[in-house]
Amino acid sequence: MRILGLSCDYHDAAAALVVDGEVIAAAEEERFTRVKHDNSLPERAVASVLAIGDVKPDELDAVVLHEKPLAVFSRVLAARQRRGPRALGAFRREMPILLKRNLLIGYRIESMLRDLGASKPPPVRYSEHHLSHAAAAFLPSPFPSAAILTVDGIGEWATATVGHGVQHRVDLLEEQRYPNSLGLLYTLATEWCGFEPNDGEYKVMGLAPFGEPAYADQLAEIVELGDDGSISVDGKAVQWWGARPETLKGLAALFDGPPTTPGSPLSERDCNLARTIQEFVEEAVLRMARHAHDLTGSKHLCMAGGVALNCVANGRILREGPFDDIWVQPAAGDAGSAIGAALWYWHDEGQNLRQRDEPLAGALAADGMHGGQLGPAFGTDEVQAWLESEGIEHQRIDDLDERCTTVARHLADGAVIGWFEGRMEFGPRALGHRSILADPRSPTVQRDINMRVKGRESFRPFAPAVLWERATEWFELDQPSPYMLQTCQVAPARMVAVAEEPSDPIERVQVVRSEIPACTHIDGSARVQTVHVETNPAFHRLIQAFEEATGCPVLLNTSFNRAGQPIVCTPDDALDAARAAGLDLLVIENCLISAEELRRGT
Amino acid sequence: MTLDRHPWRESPMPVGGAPPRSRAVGLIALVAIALAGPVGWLIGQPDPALTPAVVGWVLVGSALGSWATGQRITAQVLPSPGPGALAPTLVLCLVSGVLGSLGHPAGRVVVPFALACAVPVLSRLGGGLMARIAERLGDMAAAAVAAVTFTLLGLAAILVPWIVQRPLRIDPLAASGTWSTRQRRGARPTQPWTIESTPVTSQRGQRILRAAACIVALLVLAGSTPLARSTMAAFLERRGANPFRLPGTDAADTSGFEIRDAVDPDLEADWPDPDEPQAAMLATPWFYGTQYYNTAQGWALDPSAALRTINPYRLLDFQSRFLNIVDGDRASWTPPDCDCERLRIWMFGGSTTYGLNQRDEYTIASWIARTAAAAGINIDIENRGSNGHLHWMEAERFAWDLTIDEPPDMAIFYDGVNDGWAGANLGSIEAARVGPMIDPTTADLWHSTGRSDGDRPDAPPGASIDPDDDTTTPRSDVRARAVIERYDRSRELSRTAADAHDVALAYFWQPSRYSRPLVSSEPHGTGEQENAARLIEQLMASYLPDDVIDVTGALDGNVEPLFTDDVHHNEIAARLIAEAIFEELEPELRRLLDERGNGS
Repeated sequence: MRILGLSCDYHDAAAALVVDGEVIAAAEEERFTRVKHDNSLPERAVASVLAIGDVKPDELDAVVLHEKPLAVFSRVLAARQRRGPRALGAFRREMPILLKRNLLIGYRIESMLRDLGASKPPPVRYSEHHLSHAAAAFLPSPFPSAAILTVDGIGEWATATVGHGVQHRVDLLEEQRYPNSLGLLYTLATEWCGFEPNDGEYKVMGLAPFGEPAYADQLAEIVELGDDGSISVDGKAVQWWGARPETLKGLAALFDGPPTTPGSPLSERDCNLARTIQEFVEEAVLRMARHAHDLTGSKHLCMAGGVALNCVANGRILREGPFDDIWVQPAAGDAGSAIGAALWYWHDEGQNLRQRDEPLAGALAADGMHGGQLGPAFGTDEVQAWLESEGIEHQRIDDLDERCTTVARHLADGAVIGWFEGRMEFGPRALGHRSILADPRSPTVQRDINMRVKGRESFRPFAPAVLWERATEWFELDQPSPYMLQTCQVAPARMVAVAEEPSDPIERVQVVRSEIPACTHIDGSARVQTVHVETNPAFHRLIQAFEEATGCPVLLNTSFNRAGQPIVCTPDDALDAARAAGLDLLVIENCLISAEELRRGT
Repeated sequence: MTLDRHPWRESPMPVGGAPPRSRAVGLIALVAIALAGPVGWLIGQPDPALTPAVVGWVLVGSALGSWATGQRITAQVLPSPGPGALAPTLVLCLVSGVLGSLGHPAGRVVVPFALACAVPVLSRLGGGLMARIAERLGDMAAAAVAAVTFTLLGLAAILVPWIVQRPLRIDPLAASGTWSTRQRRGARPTQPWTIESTPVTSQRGQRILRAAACIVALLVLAGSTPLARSTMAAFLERRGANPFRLPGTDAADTSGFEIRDAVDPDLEADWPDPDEPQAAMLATPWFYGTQYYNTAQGWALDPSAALRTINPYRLLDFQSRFLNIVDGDRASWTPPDCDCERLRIWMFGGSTTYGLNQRDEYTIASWIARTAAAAGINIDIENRGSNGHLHWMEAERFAWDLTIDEPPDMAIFYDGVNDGWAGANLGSIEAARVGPMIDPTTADLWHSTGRSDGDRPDAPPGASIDPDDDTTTPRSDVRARAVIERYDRSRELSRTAADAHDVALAYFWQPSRYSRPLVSSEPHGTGEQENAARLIEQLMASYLPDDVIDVTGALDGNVEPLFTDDVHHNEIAARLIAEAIFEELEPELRRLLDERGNGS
C-alpha cells in the first residue's frame, strides 16, 4: 500500500511517501522552491518523493492531509467572531485565501496529482493535526509502547495533547485547546524579541542564556501554569486572534516596552524576556511530561510539535523527567506531520502492525526515520558530468578514506567547508549530508561563520557533531542524540576556567570556555549530534579522519545555507550557497571544489 | 546541462502556458458565453428569416472562441491572437450575451460582440499593451468584486454572531484552562472536519446561554426575511414594477369629486406576498393543495407556453384536473343531457370571464349555466374569455367565430376593468397609443410580457419617434368618459356582427375590488391610490350607455375577502356575479326558449 502524506498551508509544507508502513522518502517544499518555510501545496516535494520511491501518481492508494481543513476554518471563523467588527478588514482580506486553502484543498490536491500525471487520483483523507504529530512521534520511534506528548502553536483546536501509543495504535487521551497555547506564547515572545515568528524561535532559545528570568512575575499575570502542565492564557492580554503585537499596550507595560523592531540591536530586556519564556516553557513541558507519565505509566516518551524542537527543554525532560528514554521526531514541526498522517492512515485504517523490531548494531535504537536521510540524492558520476558541463574545476576522490583525510586536513588547517553527501535530511537540522563544517577548537570560527559565512546574529551557538564512541569523553551524555534534539553540558574535563566573565553579551560569546569553544554556549551547554557508523558512515569516517589529524573527535556542524534561506537541496544550490558564503572548500559527493574555483565563479 | 534525470528538480508543468485541459475548459466556456446571448436574442426575434443569421452567428462565435483561446480549431488560416486577448474577448462576449438575453436592441448586442471579434486582432498590436491593460483592469475588477462580496459575507459571518454573542457574554473561544478529556477516538479519515466541534466544557450555564443565542439568532433570521421582502417590495414599488398596482392611479386628480366608499387617505398599502396564500383563497384547499391548480394556472397564463402562434385569441389545449383548455377555450359546466330545448351561449370577456383562480366548473360562465339549470333553463355556455382582452378584441373574435361556427342563440360580453385600464394607459387622450394588450395583473404575465413593454427599438435612419415623456394625465372624469366612449365605439363592431347573424346580445359591466367598500384583508394600495381608483370606477359606471347592464353592485353586502388583486376573485364572487347576470338575462333567455318552442 502506497500512501502519500501531505502537510501544507500553514508553514513548512512537506510530502512523505510511506510504502507498506515504511517511510521511503520525505522532503520539505522549501528545499525545492528556495522559499524558507514555504507553505504552498508541495507539488515539487511530491514529485521528488514519488520519484525516489519509483511510484507513479496513479499507483498511490491514498493521499492523507495532516489536518482537518474544515475544522481549521471553523476555528478561524470563531476567532474572527471573537474580535467582532475590528476583524472585518482582516476577514475580507483572508477569506478568499481561506476558502481556497481550506475548503478547496481536496480539489487542489487532485489537480496537483493530475498535473503530475495522475489519470485517476487516489482519494484524499484527513488526519487530525495533533494526531499526525502524535503518529509522527510514536510510530517511527523505537519503542513498542510510549507516552506521547505533542505541543505546538495550534492545530484545529488543540494546542497540546497527551496520548498513548501501543504497538500500532495511537490514542490521544487529553488535550489543551486554543487559545491556551504554549507554542503561541513562545512565538509571541519571539516576536517581542524582534525575531520572525514561526522562524526565530530557536534564536530565542539561543538568546536565553544571556539573560535572567526577570519577567517571571509579569508572565505569571497573563498565563497560569498548572501542576499538570496545563496553561491558562489571558486571552484579552494576548489577543492572538487578530491583534498585532505592537498594539498590545498591556503587554508592553508588563515587558517594559513594545516589541523590538526586527533587525535592531538586542537589548538586555530581550535577553531577559527570552530567558523568562524559555524557563517557563521548560517548566511547562516538564510538567506535561510528568502528567503524561501519570496518565500512561509508560517508561518511554515520544514527542513532536514545534515546541519539541526546543532541545533545551528536551534535555531537561531526559534528565529530570520520569522517563527512561525519550524519542523526539527529528522533523517535529509541521513538516513531520506529513509522515505522521501517512503512517497513521497505514496503521489505523489497515490495522497493520509495526514491522520494526530489530535494533541496529551498537547503542543506537532502530527508528523508522533512517537517520533523517529521506530526501533526494545525486550520484557522483552525475555530479561530475554536471560540474564539467558548467566548466567548474574539481578534484574527484572516490576512495572514502582518502577523501575524508584530505577534507580533514583542510578542516584542521582552519578551513570552513561545505559537505554535500548522500540523501538530503528531512527536518530542520543538517545531520552531515547538507552541512557546513569547521574545526570547533578555533576561538574565532564561531563568530566568523555567524557573521561572514551565514550572515546571522553573532550570539547564535553551533552544534557539535561527535563520534558516538567518543561522546561521553566530551559531553555529559549517556544516550545517543543522532538528531541534534537535546542539549547537554560539555564534559567538565573539557571545560577551561574563565578568569573574568564580561558583562557585554557579544564579549561573552567570545570567551573560551572549553576545548571546543565554537560549540560551547555561554552556559557550557551544547546541542550535540552523536554520529553513528551504522547510519552515517561517510560523516563518521570524516570525523574519524579529523580526530586522527587533530585528536579531536568533534566537528562544528551547521546547516548548509545562509540566513533566510533553506538548506541546500541540489549540487547547484550548494555551489551557489558556497560561493555566497565564501567557503574554503566544497565537497559534493566525491568531488572537491577549491576555494579558488569557488571565488572564480562569484 | 541540468540534472534532468531527477524529476523533482523540474516542474512537470508545460512551459509557456496553461495545461491543455485548462485551455480546453476555457475554450468551451468562451464559446458557450459567446453564443448564448446572441443566439438567445436572435431566437427571440419573430422573423424566421433570421434563422440563417443564427447559424452564421454560431459559426462566427465558434471561430472567435477557438481563435481567442489559441486553439484555432475552425480558423486555422487566421494568425494567432496576441497576448491578453482572451479576457477582454470573454468580457465583451459576456456583455453582448447579457444584453441579448435581456432583449436589448440589436445595436447594443452587436457592438460589443463586434468588439470581441476585433480584440484578438488588436491584441497583436502595441507589444502586449492590451494584455497589460486587460490584466490591470481584470485585477481591479476582481479586487472590487472580492472586496464587496467578502465585506458582505463578513457582515453575516462575523458581525451578526458577534452582535448576538456579546450581550449574552458568549466567548466563541472560551476554553478550559486544564486538560480536556478527548471525547472522540479515532477520527475518521474521510471527514475533513472533527467530530467534536464545541470548544467549551459542558457546563449547564454555557448550554443555556448557547440555547438562548440560537433562539435569538433564529429570531433575527426570521425577522430578516420579512424585512428583506418589504425592502424588495419598496424597491419594486419605486421601480413601478409591482404587478398588483393599478396603472395610472398615482397621478389621478380626485379633487372636486365625491367618492363613494372612500377609504382613509392615510391607509398604508398591503400588497400580498406572492408566495403566501391569500385571504380570498384560504377556503379553497385545492388552490394551493396537492392538485397544483395554482401551478397549472401559472402555466396556462404564460403567453410563451399557452398562446397559439400569431393567434392571441385561442389558447393551446391543456389538460389538468381543474383547469382544461378545449379547442382553445376554457371548459365549462354543462347541464346533463336531456330531451329538452337547450340554448347555446357564447360568453366573451377578459381574465375574469376566463376564470382566473377558479376551477372549470365554477367560473362565472359555469355558474350562469348552473343557475339557469336550477331555474329550469338548460344552456350550453362556451367560455371564450381570454386574458387581457378589451371589447374590440372580443368583437373581432366574435366576428371570426361566426365565420367558422353556427351562430349561438346569445352572446354575452362581460367587460369593464381591461377597457378601463387600457384607457388609463392612454396617457394623452389625443394620442393613439394603447397600453399593454394583455392583462398585467399577474406576476407571471407581467414578467413574461416585460419584453414587449421594454425599450423600443431604435428609429430607422432618417426617422424619429416621439419621446416617451410627452404624455399628460387627464382629469379622472375626462379619462373615464374617454374609456366609455371607446368602449361604446368598439361595441359597434360586436353589434354589427350580431345583427348580421341574428344573435341576441347582452353587455355587462363588471365589478372590481374598487366597486365595493374596502375589505382590509384583501390586497390594497395606499389610501390615495385606492380613492383614485374608486373614483375612476364609479365615473366609468355612471357614464355607461343604457344598454350596458351594470353589475358592479353584485358583490355589495358581502364583506368576506373575495379578491386576490384588483379584479380577480374566487369562486364565491363568481357565483354572486353569475346570479346577478342571470337575473338580468332570465327574461331574455325564456323569450328565446319560447321562440324556439314556437318554431320561429
